[in-house]
Amino acid sequence: MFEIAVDVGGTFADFIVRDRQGATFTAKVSSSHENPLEPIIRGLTELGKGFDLSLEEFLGLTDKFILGTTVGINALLQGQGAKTALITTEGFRDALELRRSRLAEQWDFRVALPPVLVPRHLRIGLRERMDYQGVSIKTADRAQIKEIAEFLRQEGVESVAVCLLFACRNPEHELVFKEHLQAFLPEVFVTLSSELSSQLGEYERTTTTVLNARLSPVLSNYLQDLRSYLRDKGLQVPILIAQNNGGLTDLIQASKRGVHTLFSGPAGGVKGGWALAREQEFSELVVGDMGGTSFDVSLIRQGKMEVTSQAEIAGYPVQIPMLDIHTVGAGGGSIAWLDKGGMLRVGPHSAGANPGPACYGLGGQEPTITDAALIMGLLDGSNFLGGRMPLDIELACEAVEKKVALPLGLSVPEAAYAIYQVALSLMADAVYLMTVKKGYDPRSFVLAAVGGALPLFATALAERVGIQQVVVPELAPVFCAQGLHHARFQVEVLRSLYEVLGEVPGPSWNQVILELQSQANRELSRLGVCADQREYVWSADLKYPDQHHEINVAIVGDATDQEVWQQLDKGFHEAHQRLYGYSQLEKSLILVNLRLLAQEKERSLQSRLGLRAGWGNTKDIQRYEKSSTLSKANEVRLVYLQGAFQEVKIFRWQDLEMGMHLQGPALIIKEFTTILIEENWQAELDQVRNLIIKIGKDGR
Amino acid sequence: MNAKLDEVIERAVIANRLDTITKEMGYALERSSRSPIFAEACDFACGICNGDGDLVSQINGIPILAAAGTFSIKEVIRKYSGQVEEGDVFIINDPYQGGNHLPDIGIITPLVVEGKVLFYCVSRAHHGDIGGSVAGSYNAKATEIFQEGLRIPPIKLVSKGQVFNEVMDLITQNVRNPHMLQNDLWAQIGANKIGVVRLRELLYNYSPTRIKGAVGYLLDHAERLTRQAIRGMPDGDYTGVEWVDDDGFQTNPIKIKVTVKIKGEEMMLDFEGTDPQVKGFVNSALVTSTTAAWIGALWALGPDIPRNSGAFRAIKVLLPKGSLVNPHEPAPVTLSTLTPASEIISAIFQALDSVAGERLPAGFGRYCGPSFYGIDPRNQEFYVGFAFCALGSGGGIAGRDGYPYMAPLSNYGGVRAPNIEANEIQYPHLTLCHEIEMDSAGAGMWRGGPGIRYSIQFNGEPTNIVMFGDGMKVPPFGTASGQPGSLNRVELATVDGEKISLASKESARLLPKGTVLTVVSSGGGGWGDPWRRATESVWQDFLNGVISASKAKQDYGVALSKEGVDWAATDELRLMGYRM
Repeated sequence: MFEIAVDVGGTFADFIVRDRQGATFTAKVSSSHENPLEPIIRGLTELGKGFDLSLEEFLGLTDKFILGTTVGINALLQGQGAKTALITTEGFRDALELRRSRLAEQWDFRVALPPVLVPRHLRIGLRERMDYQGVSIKTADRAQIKEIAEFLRQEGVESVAVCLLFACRNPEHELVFKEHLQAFLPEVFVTLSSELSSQLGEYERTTTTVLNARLSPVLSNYLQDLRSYLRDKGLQVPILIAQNNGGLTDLIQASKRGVHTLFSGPAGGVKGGWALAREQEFSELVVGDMGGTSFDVSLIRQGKMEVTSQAEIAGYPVQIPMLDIHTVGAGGGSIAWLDKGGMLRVGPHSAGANPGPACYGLGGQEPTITDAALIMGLLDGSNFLGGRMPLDIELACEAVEKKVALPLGLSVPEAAYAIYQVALSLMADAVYLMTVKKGYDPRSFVLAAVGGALPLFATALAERVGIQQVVVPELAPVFCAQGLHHARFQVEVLRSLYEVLGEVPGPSWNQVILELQSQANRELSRLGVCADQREYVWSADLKYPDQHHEINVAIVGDATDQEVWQQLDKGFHEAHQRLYGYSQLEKSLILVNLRLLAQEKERSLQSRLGLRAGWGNTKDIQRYEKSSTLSKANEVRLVYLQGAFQEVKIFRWQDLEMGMHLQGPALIIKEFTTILIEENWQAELDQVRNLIIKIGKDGR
Repeated sequence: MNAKLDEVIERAVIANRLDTITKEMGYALERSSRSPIFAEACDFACGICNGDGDLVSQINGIPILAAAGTFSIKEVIRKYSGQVEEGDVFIINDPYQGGNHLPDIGIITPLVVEGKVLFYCVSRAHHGDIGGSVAGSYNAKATEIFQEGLRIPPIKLVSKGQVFNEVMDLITQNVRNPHMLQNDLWAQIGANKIGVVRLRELLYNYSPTRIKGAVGYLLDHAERLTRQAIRGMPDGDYTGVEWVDDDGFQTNPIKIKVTVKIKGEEMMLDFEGTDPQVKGFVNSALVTSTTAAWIGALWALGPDIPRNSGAFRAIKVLLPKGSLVNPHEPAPVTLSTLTPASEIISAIFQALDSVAGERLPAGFGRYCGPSFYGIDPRNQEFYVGFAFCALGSGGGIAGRDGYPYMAPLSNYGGVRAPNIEANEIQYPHLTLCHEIEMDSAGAGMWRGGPGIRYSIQFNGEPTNIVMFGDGMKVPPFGTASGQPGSLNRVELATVDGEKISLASKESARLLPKGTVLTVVSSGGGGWGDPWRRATESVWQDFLNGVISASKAKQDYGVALSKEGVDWAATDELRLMGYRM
């Protein structure tokens, strides 16, 4: 009768439980790096108590258990992972270390690159070669593989990454190697590059393969421990894991494909945005998430999540599709500073949680965005994090005065306001880059403001980029966990074709489609998705013949239909014009890859009207009726806006009733967040207790 | 609101937005361009200049192209003052009129507001071929710029939205791959257009006057930062000398000498004492030399200074006319963006090393490798490619070893080396090896990055190669008692097994099918006394095949074998200061 979603992040583990009636209950506990199982047990126990159930009873009644985890990424950042060897084509064992010469920071020679994940003496060249078309030139002999196995055994290698040249065109040599190696070394974990990616580019494919080889065993151990613990405590259903693309998979797959789950938590946030967009019928949504250290932006377009094939994880390129999340260093703890030329900057350095912002009183000397917000009157020092963290405004003023106000010749509130505005411009540029760079008009989007800090900036940010409507979801503080509830099983397969896009499909087209479909079906069947619960999304990667980068174009309709086929080139030319400022209609196109995303169908969305949501009991839905009266504020506070302190009405979230209208300027105080509604904006609580904020004066 | 507060905010906001726009231009250019040197290797730069042609913001691109945009635009302004209109697009490549070298084509698009140019968007990119005697346009035997390719003075390519097709035809008719060039020009025009559209959106929120004010501030701000950093260096004259191997005709090394004169907040880079201009294509015209001097000095001054015209105006550069670094027209200059641009920077590094606060590395490998061209037997089409996969390596720096496989200094961090897989799809050759070369890294407490061994077998028939580059005689320098890195070597192996060593600068050579070319690129120079390198690091280098046991003993005083470090022998070697 329960569905549990857990998002274990770096600072907090968030929990959401839905019962049979669809009511949701949440919990938030702090994470532990030493014992990553402990917070899960603590949170589940706490939730069980809420239903007057023991942990065993609670888990015994659980039908679905979804996990988002950062175990893999934490291991990577801390330099942990399985002892890994890398097998390459002979003569090419250094691709991992040579990288590609281009640098993110080219004006500072001292900046170090991320460490090389496999030392050279554990990188071994295999005497084989595939040519550029995937035709074998030389095959490896078994004797060498035996030697390699012997060496790996001596070295105590736990995991083997294999990335051979052109395995993306023909995986045969990799498959043969694995078969032989496992005959000699059955216990070792092997990752083949061809299992992860069919894309060209040995450097990116190698790093992807090595990341998987190093981190999967870590993830696997963790998941095994979690599973046996929870099973002992009565959990009868399998644990499902969210992947980077927002889809679900099972333990078997996640343990072998750790690289696919490195960003499972943030992916939950995008999925949450997707569900919100669906529920509210927004076709275009910007999801902005601002926490302590960063501001993350992702998009929902035409009801779909946006995927990128050019992602990086901790400075390592990965060649697998991931949800497109853009991050800038502007969070509550980001430090404001003057550069040597006296220009005001914010971030990317963060004061973190310790010492944290100056106002935490933990010894932080640097002014942060949180300090600025406190000085401006946006935060209540006695009520931060529900009163658990008292803030000292004197310390905030001192830091801002010393580091920003005095040198710039501004008053302290002015300096705080300038910090707020500069932070805002960084966020606006991030939203701008995610939208206009892709040729989308930000004005057609709604902004979902989640994370503890963003609601303070939301209306101002929206105004900056021309967005007319903001939503602060009821479950904003546990938004990523909430999103996990909506994740579905998902399988992605692709075929490299590299052929000219003709007016009609080639003779083997139908065959290719059938093969991809049956490949995806096998995996979906294993995951237990019934045939009538499957849906298929086709797309093609296209480019001009001499171009180096592809554009992914959706195939709308039946992929075997000729008319649908003929829409492909039109879709490409339009996208090219939008993205790069020109197109060449007269040119023929190359069909690089055909992609299939096979997934479990959406369950029909129950209306959340009639459901309870939030931290405890909320109002009965029967009491919902549209009220045109403006809410009365119970207090006012002086807030520095637009160059002066002015009186702003203060509301408490729990006092808000559905249908109420609030006219800005106003502040709404909610546990873990505060929402600023600027002048010219008005807010209303909808049926499911999302706060909808629209531009305009009351009555219009 | 307080006007001062307004200003503080506005400046930061406009600075952020300009950087965002140049990023977007760079992204569009990379994703939509066609020639491998452009789309794969990212041999381009783009930026935004104000109405006076001062560079305000640019992407992280190729360092040596960093300042070229401003020179190009200033030439356009000089020639077309009062005739610049909305919808115009200018094109330029002439090194004697605002360009670097002929293959780099600048495309310039103005944003006109109320009859005046508020901004220019500029992209400069290296095209695979610009005509001249050899494909790829690196003609090592050119003695005049006329043999290096097509010269394009600043001219209008588009007027008020109308493309001059005649001009386009004239240009594309003079190169070996006209379609690719035309497509890539469109990619540049498209990227600029995106820049112009975005800049226009700034006008929704700010008046032209406010924008100009903010832009003026950004330039002053960079100048202030630069002057401050100069003040942080002790007054004095600092001299650095670097050598170019030869010019492909004479065999003597060519001297580059710089005296950096620091007084208060003034810095002057005086190249008096540099050798006279030479016959071959290693001359460097004004734009390339000045840019190299600026970026070299800024590397010494600090990473936080915005690389814009404000910073540049605080650094004076004196280039004697008729010298290698400022030749008389029509001296050939095509190699200049690699050599001597990197050697100009290297001379500055050696001059300023003692006062730059351990910010500067030891010497970097120089570019050296052929361009290759012919008809691809797989599709009967003409192709031209470069040996980007033969990059040398970086020098060590206080605190870490040099990285392998780095572009030469003039291109540091900007060039993206192609994947072997992409290369083999584009060109008819088979790669045999692409690995680190043992014993090539300059020894040091922080050693240089090891060089690369790169071998390819040509399968096209016939294949022509043209050698261009440097660093076969002069190695990357060592710093602070570090040792120099290794030299570049290039060799052919014929199908009969004969080995032929190649010089760094050669005229075209026809290769029979099956010939193998091997480039062994320079390891970077070392930083600090190798005797002080941690024994454990020497052991790791040995274990990883970066150095041999004999080198460990000779250069580092560490006695080791496959079994491990012989600590007693090592102590003895190191304590005795014994060097073989």
